[in-house]
Amino acid sequence: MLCENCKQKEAKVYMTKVINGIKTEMNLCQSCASEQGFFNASPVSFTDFFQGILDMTPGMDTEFVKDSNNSSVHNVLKCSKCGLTYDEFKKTSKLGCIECFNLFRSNLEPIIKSMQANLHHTGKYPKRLGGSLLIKKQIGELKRKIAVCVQDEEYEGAATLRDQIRKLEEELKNE
Amino acid sequence: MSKWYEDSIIDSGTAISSRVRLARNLSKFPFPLKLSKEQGEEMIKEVVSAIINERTPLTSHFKSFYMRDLSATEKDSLVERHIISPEFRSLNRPTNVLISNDENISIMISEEDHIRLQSVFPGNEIEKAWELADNVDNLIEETVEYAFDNDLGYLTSCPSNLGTGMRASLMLHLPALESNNQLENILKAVGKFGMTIRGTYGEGSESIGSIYQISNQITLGTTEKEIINNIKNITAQIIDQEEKLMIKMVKNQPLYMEDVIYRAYGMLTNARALSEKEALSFISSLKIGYNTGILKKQKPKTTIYNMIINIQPSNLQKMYDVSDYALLAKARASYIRDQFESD
Repeated sequence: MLCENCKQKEAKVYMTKVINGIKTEMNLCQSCASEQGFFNASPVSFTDFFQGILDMTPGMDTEFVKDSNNSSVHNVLKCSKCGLTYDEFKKTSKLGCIECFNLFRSNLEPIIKSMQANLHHTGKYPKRLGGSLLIKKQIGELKRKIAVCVQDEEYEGAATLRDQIRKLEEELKNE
Repeated sequence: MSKWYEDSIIDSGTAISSRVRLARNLSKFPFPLKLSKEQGEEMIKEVVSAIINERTPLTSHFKSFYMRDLSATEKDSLVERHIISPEFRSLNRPTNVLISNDENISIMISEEDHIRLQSVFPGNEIEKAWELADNVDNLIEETVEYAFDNDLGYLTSCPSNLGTGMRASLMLHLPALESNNQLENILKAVGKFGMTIRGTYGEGSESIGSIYQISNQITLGTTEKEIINNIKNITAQIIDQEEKLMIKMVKNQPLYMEDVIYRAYGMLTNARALSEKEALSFISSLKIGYNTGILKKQKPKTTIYNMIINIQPSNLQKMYDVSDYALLAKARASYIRDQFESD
Protein backbone atom coordinates (compact mmCIF):
# COMPACT_ATOMS: atom_id res chain seq x y z
CA MET A 1 0.00 0.00 0.00
CA LEU A 2 1.08 3.60 -0.61
CA CYS A 3 2.16 6.04 2.12
CA GLU A 4 -0.84 7.98 3.42
CA ASN A 5 1.25 11.14 3.70
CA CYS A 6 3.13 11.55 0.43
CA LYS A 7 1.08 9.03 -1.51
CA GLN A 8 4.17 8.19 -3.56
CA LYS A 9 6.43 5.71 -1.76
CA GLU A 10 5.40 2.39 -0.37
CA ALA A 11 4.17 2.36 3.22
CA LYS A 12 6.59 0.44 5.42
CA VAL A 13 5.88 1.96 8.84
CA TYR A 14 2.57 1.07 10.47
CA MET A 15 1.63 3.43 13.29
CA THR A 16 -1.17 2.90 15.83
CA LYS A 17 -2.08 5.75 18.19
CA VAL A 18 -4.22 5.06 21.28
CA ILE A 19 -5.14 8.22 23.18
CA ASN A 20 -7.89 8.20 25.79
CA GLY A 21 -9.10 4.94 24.34
CA ILE A 22 -9.47 6.32 20.84
CA LYS A 23 -7.45 4.46 18.23
CA THR A 24 -6.10 5.98 15.04
CA GLU A 25 -3.93 4.23 12.49
CA MET A 26 -1.52 5.60 9.92
CA ASN A 27 0.62 3.90 7.30
CA LEU A 28 3.73 5.83 6.27
CA CYS A 29 6.83 5.36 4.15
CA GLN A 30 10.19 5.48 5.91
CA SER A 31 11.03 9.07 4.84
CA CYS A 32 7.68 10.49 5.96
CA ALA A 33 7.90 8.47 9.15
CA SER A 34 11.39 9.79 9.98
CA GLU A 35 10.23 13.31 9.07
CA GLN A 36 7.52 12.95 11.65
CA GLY A 37 10.11 11.82 14.12
CA PHE A 38 9.92 8.03 14.01
CA PHE A 39 13.28 6.26 13.89
CA ASN A 40 14.49 3.29 11.97
CA ALA A 41 14.84 -0.03 13.72
CA SER A 42 17.95 -0.26 15.90
CA PRO A 43 19.37 -3.20 17.84
CA VAL A 44 17.57 -3.74 21.14
CA SER A 45 19.85 -3.05 24.10
CA PHE A 46 19.40 -4.39 27.60
CA THR A 47 18.10 -0.96 28.73
CA ASP A 48 15.60 -0.88 25.89
CA PHE A 49 14.36 -4.29 26.91
CA PHE A 50 13.82 -3.26 30.51
CA GLN A 51 12.32 0.08 29.58
CA GLY A 52 10.06 -1.82 27.23
CA ILE A 53 8.88 -3.97 30.11
CA LEU A 54 8.27 -0.86 32.21
CA ASP A 55 6.26 0.47 29.32
CA MET A 56 3.86 -2.45 29.36
CA THR A 57 1.89 -1.14 32.30
CA PRO A 58 -1.90 -0.91 31.95
CA GLY A 59 -3.76 2.33 31.42
CA MET A 60 -1.06 3.95 29.36
CA ASP A 61 -1.44 6.15 26.34
CA THR A 62 1.10 4.86 23.91
CA GLU A 63 2.00 5.35 20.35
CA PHE A 64 3.39 2.18 18.88
CA VAL A 65 5.50 2.38 15.79
CA LYS A 66 6.43 -0.83 13.98
CA ASP A 67 8.23 -1.07 10.69
CA SER A 68 7.73 -3.83 8.13
CA ASN A 69 10.08 -6.13 10.08
CA ASN A 70 7.77 -5.74 13.10
CA SER A 71 10.76 -5.04 15.33
CA SER A 72 11.52 -1.59 16.79
CA VAL A 73 8.95 -0.10 19.13
CA HIS A 74 9.06 3.60 20.05
CA ASN A 75 6.96 5.80 22.24
CA VAL A 76 6.43 9.27 20.78
CA LEU A 77 4.18 11.15 23.14
CA LYS A 78 5.14 14.82 23.17
CA CYS A 79 4.12 17.62 25.54
CA SER A 80 2.27 20.44 23.77
CA LYS A 81 3.52 23.09 26.18
CA CYS A 82 7.24 22.36 26.48
CA GLY A 83 7.94 19.77 23.80
CA LEU A 84 9.25 17.06 26.11
CA THR A 85 9.00 13.65 24.47
CA TYR A 86 8.51 10.37 26.28
CA ASP A 87 11.94 9.24 25.10
CA GLU A 88 13.53 12.34 26.63
CA PHE A 89 11.66 11.70 29.85
CA LYS A 90 12.86 8.12 29.99
CA LYS A 91 16.46 9.14 29.31
CA THR A 92 16.64 11.98 31.80
CA SER A 93 13.86 10.87 34.19
CA LYS A 94 12.88 14.55 34.48
CA LEU A 95 9.65 16.36 33.58
CA GLY A 96 9.55 19.54 31.49
CA CYS A 97 6.56 21.53 32.75
CA ILE A 98 3.26 21.25 34.60
CA GLU A 99 1.50 19.96 31.47
CA CYS A 100 3.85 16.97 31.37
CA PHE A 101 2.26 15.71 34.57
CA ASN A 102 -1.08 15.37 32.81
CA LEU A 103 0.36 13.84 29.66
CA PHE A 104 2.64 11.31 31.33
CA ARG A 105 0.48 10.70 34.41
CA SER A 106 -0.05 6.98 33.91
CA ASN A 107 3.64 6.42 33.14
CA LEU A 108 4.62 8.35 36.24
CA GLU A 109 2.40 6.60 38.73
CA PRO A 110 4.30 3.31 39.00
CA ILE A 111 7.60 5.21 39.20
CA ILE A 112 6.33 7.51 41.93
CA LYS A 113 4.82 4.61 43.86
CA SER A 114 8.17 2.87 43.98
CA MET A 115 10.17 5.89 45.18
CA GLN A 116 7.72 7.67 47.45
CA ALA A 117 5.40 6.84 50.39
CA ASN A 118 2.22 7.05 48.33
CA LEU A 119 0.54 9.05 45.57
CA HIS A 120 -1.16 11.63 47.71
CA HIS A 121 0.35 14.84 49.07
CA THR A 122 -0.42 15.41 52.76
CA GLY A 123 1.88 18.35 53.50
CA LYS A 124 1.94 22.10 52.96
CA TYR A 125 -0.38 23.83 50.50
CA PRO A 126 0.62 27.08 48.83
CA LYS A 127 -1.36 29.92 50.41
CA ARG A 128 -2.50 31.26 47.04
CA LEU A 129 -3.99 28.06 45.77
CA GLY A 130 -5.06 27.39 49.36
CA GLY A 131 -8.55 28.76 49.07
CA SER A 132 -10.88 26.06 47.85
CA LEU A 133 -8.24 23.32 47.69
CA LEU A 134 -7.45 23.75 51.36
CA ILE A 135 -11.12 23.80 52.33
CA LYS A 136 -11.79 20.61 50.36
CA LYS A 137 -8.86 18.98 52.12
CA GLN A 138 -10.22 20.04 55.52
CA ILE A 139 -13.66 18.69 54.63
CA GLY A 140 -12.09 15.38 53.65
CA GLU A 141 -10.30 15.13 56.99
CA LEU A 142 -13.42 15.95 58.96
CA LYS A 143 -15.37 13.30 57.06
CA ARG A 144 -12.74 10.73 58.01
CA LYS A 145 -13.04 11.82 61.63
CA ILE A 146 -16.83 11.44 61.49
CA ALA A 147 -16.44 7.86 60.31
CA VAL A 148 -14.27 7.13 63.34
CA CYS A 149 -16.75 8.80 65.71
CA VAL A 150 -19.65 6.81 64.29
CA GLN A 151 -17.65 3.62 64.65
CA ASP A 152 -16.99 4.42 68.30
CA GLU A 153 -20.63 5.46 68.73
CA GLU A 154 -19.58 9.01 69.67
CA TYR A 155 -22.66 10.57 68.11
CA GLU A 156 -22.31 13.94 69.81
CA GLY A 157 -18.82 14.33 68.48
CA ALA A 158 -20.02 13.31 65.04
CA ALA A 159 -22.75 15.95 65.16
CA THR A 160 -20.23 18.68 66.00
CA LEU A 161 -18.03 17.58 63.13
CA ARG A 162 -21.02 17.53 60.80
CA ASP A 163 -21.76 21.16 61.68
CA GLN A 164 -18.14 22.06 60.99
CA ILE A 165 -18.38 20.40 57.60
CA ARG A 166 -21.56 22.33 56.78
CA LYS A 167 -19.80 25.60 57.65
CA LEU A 168 -16.86 24.75 55.41
CA GLU A 169 -19.15 23.74 52.56
CA GLU A 170 -20.81 27.17 52.81
CA GLU A 171 -17.38 28.79 52.61
CA LEU A 172 -16.62 26.69 49.55
CA LYS A 173 -19.75 27.92 47.80
CA ASN A 174 -18.73 31.50 48.45
CA GLU A 175 -15.17 31.02 47.12
CA MET B 1 27.92 40.80 59.93
CA SER B 2 29.18 37.40 61.06
CA LYS B 3 28.41 34.30 59.04
CA TRP B 4 26.51 31.47 60.68
CA TYR B 5 29.48 29.14 60.69
CA GLU B 6 31.53 31.64 62.67
CA ASP B 7 29.10 31.12 65.54
CA SER B 8 31.02 29.19 68.20
CA ILE B 9 28.27 26.81 69.28
CA ILE B 10 29.05 24.49 66.39
CA ASP B 11 31.92 22.94 68.26
CA SER B 12 29.97 21.32 71.06
CA GLY B 13 28.83 18.00 69.79
CA THR B 14 28.24 15.65 66.94
CA ALA B 15 25.84 17.71 64.83
CA ILE B 16 27.77 20.30 62.86
CA SER B 17 24.93 21.86 60.88
CA SER B 18 21.26 21.44 59.99
CA ARG B 19 19.77 22.17 56.58
CA VAL B 20 16.35 22.28 54.98
CA ARG B 21 16.00 22.58 51.21
CA LEU B 22 12.71 23.25 49.40
CA ALA B 23 12.21 22.73 45.67
CA ARG B 24 9.64 24.93 43.93
CA ASN B 25 8.64 25.80 40.36
CA LEU B 26 6.60 28.65 38.92
CA SER B 27 3.50 27.39 37.11
CA LYS B 28 3.72 29.73 34.13
CA PHE B 29 7.15 28.67 32.84
CA PRO B 30 8.50 25.30 31.66
CA PHE B 31 10.95 23.79 34.11
CA PRO B 32 14.65 24.70 33.75
CA LEU B 33 15.42 21.80 31.43
CA LYS B 34 12.94 23.10 28.87
CA LEU B 35 13.24 26.82 29.53
CA SER B 36 14.35 29.06 26.67
CA LYS B 37 17.05 31.63 27.38
CA GLU B 38 14.53 34.50 27.27
CA GLN B 39 12.05 32.70 29.50
CA GLY B 40 14.91 31.92 31.90
CA GLU B 41 15.85 35.59 32.21
CA GLU B 42 12.21 36.53 32.74
CA MET B 43 11.74 33.88 35.38
CA ILE B 44 14.86 34.97 37.25
CA LYS B 45 13.66 38.59 37.33
CA GLU B 46 10.33 37.49 38.78
CA VAL B 47 11.84 35.41 41.54
CA VAL B 48 14.48 38.01 42.45
CA SER B 49 11.84 40.73 42.70
CA ALA B 50 9.79 38.53 45.02
CA ILE B 51 12.60 38.90 47.57
CA ILE B 52 14.24 42.18 46.59
CA ASN B 53 11.57 44.87 46.34
CA GLU B 54 10.27 47.91 48.20
CA ARG B 55 7.61 46.06 50.14
CA THR B 56 9.37 43.38 52.14
CA PRO B 57 11.44 44.07 55.26
CA LEU B 58 13.82 41.23 54.28
CA THR B 59 15.04 43.01 51.14
CA SER B 60 18.06 44.64 52.75
CA HIS B 61 19.20 41.26 54.05
CA PHE B 62 19.66 39.69 50.62
CA LYS B 63 22.05 40.08 47.71
CA SER B 64 21.42 38.80 44.20
CA PHE B 65 24.17 37.39 41.97
CA TYR B 66 23.98 36.28 38.37
CA MET B 67 26.31 33.31 38.15
CA ARG B 68 27.69 34.62 34.85
CA ASP B 69 29.00 37.70 36.69
CA LEU B 70 31.06 35.66 39.14
CA SER B 71 34.64 34.48 38.62
CA ALA B 72 35.52 30.78 38.71
CA THR B 73 37.06 31.22 42.15
CA GLU B 74 34.00 32.99 43.51
CA LYS B 75 31.77 30.20 42.16
CA ASP B 76 33.99 27.49 43.66
CA SER B 77 33.99 29.33 46.94
CA LEU B 78 30.17 29.31 46.98
CA VAL B 79 30.26 25.55 46.50
CA GLU B 80 32.78 25.14 49.30
CA ARG B 81 30.60 27.21 51.64
CA HIS B 82 27.65 24.94 50.73
CA ILE B 83 25.73 27.92 49.38
CA ILE B 84 25.27 26.40 45.92
CA SER B 85 25.48 22.84 44.66
CA PRO B 86 28.37 21.66 42.44
CA GLU B 87 25.81 20.92 39.68
CA PHE B 88 24.53 24.52 39.79
CA ARG B 89 28.06 25.87 39.52
CA SER B 90 28.60 24.22 36.14
CA LEU B 91 25.30 25.09 34.43
CA ASN B 92 25.37 26.94 31.12
CA ARG B 93 21.89 28.43 31.18
CA PRO B 94 21.00 31.76 32.87
CA THR B 95 21.18 31.25 36.63
CA ASN B 96 21.07 33.44 39.68
CA VAL B 97 21.57 32.98 43.39
CA LEU B 98 20.06 35.03 46.21
CA ILE B 99 22.09 34.95 49.42
CA SER B 100 21.18 36.37 52.80
CA ASN B 101 23.92 38.42 54.45
CA ASP B 102 24.44 35.92 57.25
CA GLU B 103 24.40 33.11 54.66
CA ASN B 104 21.62 31.29 56.55
CA ILE B 105 19.45 31.40 53.43
CA SER B 106 20.39 30.83 49.82
CA ILE B 107 18.04 30.57 46.86
CA MET B 108 19.38 28.96 43.69
CA ILE B 109 17.35 30.06 40.68
CA SER B 110 17.21 27.68 37.71
CA GLU B 111 19.02 24.70 39.11
CA GLU B 112 17.07 21.47 38.50
CA ASP B 113 13.94 23.40 39.52
CA HIS B 114 13.19 27.10 39.23
CA ILE B 115 13.70 27.65 42.93
CA ARG B 116 15.93 25.68 45.31
CA LEU B 117 15.56 27.40 48.66
CA GLN B 118 18.02 26.41 51.35
CA SER B 119 18.13 27.28 55.04
CA VAL B 120 21.18 26.34 57.15
CA PHE B 121 21.79 26.61 60.88
CA PRO B 122 24.79 25.66 63.04
CA GLY B 123 24.47 22.62 65.29
CA ASN B 124 21.36 20.56 65.86
CA GLU B 125 18.61 22.99 64.81
CA ILE B 126 16.59 21.31 62.10
CA GLU B 127 13.31 22.81 63.34
CA LYS B 128 14.69 26.34 63.16
CA ALA B 129 15.98 25.62 59.66
CA TRP B 130 12.49 24.46 58.62
CA GLU B 131 10.75 27.47 60.19
CA LEU B 132 12.97 29.90 58.34
CA ALA B 133 12.65 28.04 55.03
CA ASP B 134 8.87 27.94 55.49
CA ASN B 135 8.73 31.70 56.06
CA VAL B 136 10.89 32.59 53.08
CA ASP B 137 8.83 30.17 50.95
CA ASN B 138 5.64 32.02 51.99
CA LEU B 139 7.30 35.34 51.20
CA ILE B 140 8.23 34.29 47.66
CA GLU B 141 4.74 32.94 47.14
CA GLU B 142 3.19 36.34 47.83
CA THR B 143 4.48 37.43 44.44
CA VAL B 144 4.74 34.31 42.28
CA GLU B 145 2.40 31.40 41.61
CA TYR B 146 3.80 27.95 42.31
CA ALA B 147 3.24 24.81 40.23
CA PHE B 148 1.14 22.62 42.50
CA ASP B 149 -1.14 19.59 42.12
CA ASN B 150 -3.75 18.39 44.58
CA ASP B 151 -2.42 14.84 44.48
CA LEU B 152 1.26 15.25 43.72
CA GLY B 153 1.87 18.39 45.77
CA TYR B 154 4.57 20.84 44.67
CA LEU B 155 5.52 19.87 41.12
CA THR B 156 9.21 19.33 40.54
CA SER B 157 11.37 18.36 37.62
CA CYS B 158 12.40 15.08 39.19
CA PRO B 159 9.73 12.75 40.65
CA SER B 160 11.99 12.17 43.66
CA ASN B 161 11.22 15.71 44.91
CA LEU B 162 7.44 15.79 44.46
CA GLY B 163 5.00 16.57 47.26
CA THR B 164 6.73 18.59 49.96
CA GLY B 165 9.78 19.22 47.77
CA MET B 166 11.68 19.06 51.02
CA ARG B 167 15.08 17.61 51.75
CA ALA B 168 16.04 17.90 55.40
CA SER B 169 19.60 16.98 56.33
CA LEU B 170 22.11 17.16 59.14
CA MET B 171 25.89 17.15 58.95
CA LEU B 172 27.27 14.82 61.60
CA HIS B 173 30.80 14.15 62.85
CA LEU B 174 30.96 10.38 63.46
CA PRO B 175 34.55 9.29 64.11
CA ALA B 176 33.71 6.60 66.69
CA LEU B 177 31.02 4.91 64.62
CA GLU B 178 33.26 5.12 61.56
CA SER B 179 36.35 3.61 63.14
CA ASN B 180 34.28 0.81 64.66
CA ASN B 181 32.78 -0.02 61.27
CA GLN B 182 29.27 0.72 62.48
CA LEU B 183 28.26 2.91 59.58
CA GLU B 184 27.09 0.03 57.43
CA ASN B 185 24.57 -0.87 60.16
CA ILE B 186 23.51 2.74 60.56
CA LEU B 187 22.94 2.96 56.82
CA LYS B 188 20.65 -0.09 56.86
CA ALA B 189 18.77 1.14 59.92
CA VAL B 190 18.07 4.64 58.62
CA GLY B 191 17.09 3.20 55.24
CA LYS B 192 14.11 1.54 56.89
CA PHE B 193 12.86 5.01 57.86
CA GLY B 194 13.14 6.43 54.37
CA MET B 195 16.48 8.12 55.07
CA THR B 196 19.99 7.85 53.78
CA ILE B 197 23.44 8.68 55.12
CA ARG B 198 26.55 9.43 53.05
CA GLY B 199 30.03 10.93 53.39
CA THR B 200 30.17 14.70 52.89
CA TYR B 201 33.73 15.04 51.64
CA GLY B 202 35.17 12.39 49.39
CA GLU B 203 33.79 10.21 46.63
CA GLY B 204 30.60 8.18 47.07
CA SER B 205 30.35 6.68 50.50
CA GLU B 206 33.92 7.52 51.42
CA SER B 207 34.25 10.20 54.02
CA ILE B 208 37.19 12.41 54.83
CA GLY B 209 37.28 13.92 58.30
CA SER B 210 34.54 11.51 59.48
CA ILE B 211 31.84 13.93 58.38
CA TYR B 212 28.55 12.43 57.19
CA GLN B 213 25.22 13.76 56.02
CA ILE B 214 21.90 12.19 56.92
CA SER B 215 18.83 13.15 54.88
CA ASN B 216 15.29 12.03 54.08
CA GLN B 217 14.59 10.35 50.77
CA ILE B 218 10.80 10.42 50.76
CA THR B 219 9.13 13.72 49.97
CA LEU B 220 5.59 12.75 48.89
CA GLY B 221 2.93 11.20 51.09
CA THR B 222 4.38 12.59 54.29
CA THR B 223 4.03 15.99 55.91
CA GLU B 224 6.89 18.42 56.50
CA LYS B 225 6.42 18.01 60.25
CA GLU B 226 6.72 14.24 59.94
CA ILE B 227 9.96 14.53 57.97
CA ILE B 228 11.40 16.90 60.58
CA ASN B 229 10.35 14.71 63.51
CA ASN B 230 11.70 11.58 61.87
CA ILE B 231 15.09 13.04 61.14
CA LYS B 232 15.28 14.60 64.60
CA ASN B 233 14.57 11.29 66.32
CA ILE B 234 16.89 9.22 64.20
CA THR B 235 19.70 11.77 64.48
CA ALA B 236 19.28 11.82 68.25
CA GLN B 237 19.78 8.07 68.32
CA ILE B 238 22.84 8.22 66.08
CA ILE B 239 24.36 11.00 68.19
CA ASP B 240 23.69 9.00 71.33
CA GLN B 241 25.41 5.93 69.88
CA GLU B 242 28.36 7.98 68.64
CA GLU B 243 28.92 9.66 71.99
CA LYS B 244 28.60 6.42 73.98
CA LEU B 245 31.03 4.67 71.64
CA MET B 246 33.51 7.53 71.90
CA ILE B 247 33.45 7.36 75.68
CA LYS B 248 34.08 3.62 75.45
CA MET B 249 36.99 4.13 73.06
CA VAL B 250 38.60 6.64 75.37
CA LYS B 251 38.16 4.29 78.33
CA ASN B 252 39.53 1.26 76.51
CA GLN B 253 42.42 2.87 74.65
CA PRO B 254 43.38 6.02 76.52
CA LEU B 255 46.97 6.14 75.28
CA TYR B 256 46.04 5.50 71.67
CA MET B 257 43.36 8.19 71.71
CA GLU B 258 45.60 10.71 73.43
CA ASP B 259 48.40 10.00 70.97
CA VAL B 260 46.19 10.42 67.88
CA ILE B 261 44.78 13.67 69.24
CA TYR B 262 48.09 15.21 70.27
CA ARG B 263 49.79 14.15 67.03
CA ALA B 264 47.01 15.89 65.13
CA TYR B 265 47.46 18.99 67.27
CA GLY B 266 51.20 18.85 66.68
CA MET B 267 50.79 18.64 62.93
CA LEU B 268 48.21 21.38 62.73
CA THR B 269 50.31 23.79 64.75
CA ASN B 270 53.63 22.99 63.08
CA ALA B 271 53.30 21.62 59.55
CA ARG B 272 54.49 23.86 56.72
CA ALA B 273 52.39 22.14 54.04
CA LEU B 274 49.12 20.22 54.37
CA SER B 275 46.88 18.56 51.81
CA GLU B 276 43.12 18.98 52.15
CA LYS B 277 42.70 15.33 53.07
CA GLU B 278 45.38 15.45 55.79
CA ALA B 279 44.07 18.68 57.22
CA LEU B 280 40.48 17.39 57.42
CA SER B 281 41.64 14.24 59.11
CA PHE B 282 43.69 16.12 61.71
CA ILE B 283 40.90 18.60 62.32
CA SER B 284 38.58 15.67 62.99
CA SER B 285 40.97 14.41 65.69
CA LEU B 286 41.30 17.92 67.05
CA LYS B 287 37.52 18.13 67.46
CA ILE B 288 37.52 14.81 69.30
CA GLY B 289 40.25 16.17 71.54
CA TYR B 290 38.21 19.19 72.57
CA ASN B 291 34.90 17.35 72.85
CA THR B 292 36.32 14.65 75.12
CA GLY B 293 38.42 17.08 77.12
CA ILE B 294 41.57 15.13 76.33
CA LEU B 295 43.21 18.01 74.50
CA LYS B 296 44.23 20.51 77.11
CA LYS B 297 45.41 23.18 74.70
CA GLN B 298 44.01 26.55 73.72
CA LYS B 299 41.20 26.35 71.17
CA PRO B 300 41.76 27.87 67.74
CA LYS B 301 40.64 31.45 67.14
CA THR B 302 37.89 30.38 64.78
CA THR B 303 35.34 27.56 64.86
CA ILE B 304 36.18 24.07 63.65
CA TYR B 305 33.58 24.34 60.90
CA ASN B 306 34.99 27.64 59.72
CA MET B 307 38.39 26.00 59.48
CA ILE B 308 36.95 23.14 57.43
CA ILE B 309 35.46 25.65 54.99
CA ASN B 310 38.51 27.90 54.74
CA ILE B 311 41.07 25.17 54.04
CA GLN B 312 39.35 24.32 50.77
CA PRO B 313 41.07 25.48 47.57
CA SER B 314 38.94 28.44 46.45
CA ASN B 315 38.62 29.92 49.87
CA LEU B 316 42.37 29.68 50.39
CA GLN B 317 42.86 31.32 47.04
CA LYS B 318 40.63 34.21 48.06
CA MET B 319 42.60 34.71 51.26
CA TYR B 320 46.15 34.17 50.01
CA ASP B 321 45.83 34.76 46.28
CA VAL B 322 47.45 31.44 45.29
CA SER B 323 46.32 28.69 42.96
CA ASP B 324 49.35 26.50 42.37
CA TYR B 325 48.86 23.19 44.19
CA ALA B 326 52.09 23.34 46.16
CA LEU B 327 51.41 26.91 47.20
CA LEU B 328 47.89 25.92 48.26
CA ALA B 329 49.31 23.29 50.63
CA LYS B 330 51.61 25.94 52.09
CA ALA B 331 48.78 28.49 52.43
CA ARG B 332 46.60 25.88 54.08
CA ALA B 333 49.20 25.07 56.72
CA SER B 334 49.85 28.77 57.21
CA TYR B 335 46.16 29.55 57.72
CA ILE B 336 45.79 26.75 60.26
CA ARG B 337 48.89 27.76 62.24
CA ASP B 338 47.51 31.29 62.35
CA GLN B 339 44.37 30.06 64.10
CA PHE B 340 46.47 28.82 67.01
CA GLU B 341 48.70 31.86 67.26
CA SER B 342 47.88 34.14 70.13
CA ASP B 343 47.73 37.74 68.93
